[in-house]
Amino acid sequence: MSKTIMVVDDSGSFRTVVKLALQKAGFAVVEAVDGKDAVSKLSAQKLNLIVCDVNMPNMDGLSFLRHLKATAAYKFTPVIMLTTESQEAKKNEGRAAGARAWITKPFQPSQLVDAVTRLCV
Amino acid sequence: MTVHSAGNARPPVPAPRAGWRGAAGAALAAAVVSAAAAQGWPWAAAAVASAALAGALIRPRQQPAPSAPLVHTQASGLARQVVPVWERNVSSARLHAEQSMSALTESFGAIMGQMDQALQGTTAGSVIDGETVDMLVERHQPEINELLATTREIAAVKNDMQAGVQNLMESLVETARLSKEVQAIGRATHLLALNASVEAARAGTSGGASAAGFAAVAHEVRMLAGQSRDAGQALARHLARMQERVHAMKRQGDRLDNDDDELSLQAEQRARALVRALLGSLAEVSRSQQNLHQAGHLVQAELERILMSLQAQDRFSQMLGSVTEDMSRMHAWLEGADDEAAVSANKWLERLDSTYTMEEMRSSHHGTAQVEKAAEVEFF
Repeated sequence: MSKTIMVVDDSGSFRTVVKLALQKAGFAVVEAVDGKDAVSKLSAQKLNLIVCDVNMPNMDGLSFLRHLKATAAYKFTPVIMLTTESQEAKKNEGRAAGARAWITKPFQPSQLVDAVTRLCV
Repeated sequence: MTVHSAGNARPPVPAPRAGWRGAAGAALAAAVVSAAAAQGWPWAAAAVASAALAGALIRPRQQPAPSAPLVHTQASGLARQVVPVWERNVSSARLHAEQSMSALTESFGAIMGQMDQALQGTTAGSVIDGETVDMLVERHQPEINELLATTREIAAVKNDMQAGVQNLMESLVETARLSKEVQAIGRATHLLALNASVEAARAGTSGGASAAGFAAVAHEVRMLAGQSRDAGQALARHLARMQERVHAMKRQGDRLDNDDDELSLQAEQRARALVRALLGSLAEVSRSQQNLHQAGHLVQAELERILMSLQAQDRFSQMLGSVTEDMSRMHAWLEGADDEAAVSANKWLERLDSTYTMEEMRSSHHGTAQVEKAAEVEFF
């Protein structure tokens, strides 16, 4: 049975690019348009990993990450931040919030797949 | 655009320096123009309009100087009306670009999926060359032999039939010999009957009953001899006809026997040629399949590069989002809302700088050179 990855990003075209890269590698993909949408979809299925943008409306990626780590069922679900943010301060914030990896956009599909494969539970 | 004061009676005065609003307007225009330069066509109109507004706020020195409050009033009124329009146009362009890019990305995704399916149906396989064909023909000799087995079975049956015919002929010869013996016995029996008749006649002249009986027996023997002779002759004629037919069958069999070896050889050669032709066609298909497989991988690699390029829409959207948000803040302040950053252009620009999420935007803001960086992955 294939593993399920949630992709959280407010850009529809970007979610499609990530989805295509992951599906090609054999992963099932669930999409969310922002942190709030992602929270509402958490209980619907088991997630093996989450790929999340930082700058999103309603609930940004770091707020979503903190919410996730405070939820018992998802405390150990690995999260990869996939974002245009490249400043060290933001990266440190992500690391402190519990992210397992930080990928700066634009990404190579093979890099993302390697990271997901490495971290997927 | 130039600004004229009402009732133009005062002498020209040195043009005052453009205030901080002019600088803010110019920086906003610069941000829009740099986005236009990076992303192209949707921004030409915005760039022209922002340059016009900046020109309205920063007067050329040689024009007669209207009063400063009048300039500020007119500029504020202009900005209050123009900025919202810019904001709507920029937001609309951002939305349309996002929708178009989403559709394009989906299409490329479908192409990649179809390519994957097509490649799954092919395998790289191994090329079949001439040497391999010869080897395969030899390897498949048992199958060729099986193909020719029916021909060989027919030949074997024919040989058996010919052997049977030969045996039949020999039996007929023996039977003919026996027929002649029967005829000979018939003739001898007939002579015996004639002698018996002569003796019976001699015995009859001496008188007595035995002479009549002897004559009767002699008569019967003579009758039997005749029947025997007739049967032998009929048998001989019948045997002669059968022998003629069997001789004809043997002559036909002998003729086919000479052709049989030639037919077997031809059948085998044709079978081998057929297998070789089939393997040759298979080799061609194998080479085409390998070429298709390689071409498919090249196309897939190109599609992946395109998908990576399509990520530019996300950066484009973030750039425009930052500009439209600042337009909204500017408009709100022009409408009278409090804004701490409005105390100076520097404060305003500092705040704008802090909203940027990409190095590209910071480089454009400060007019610095941008260093292209490869995608980074950092594990924690």
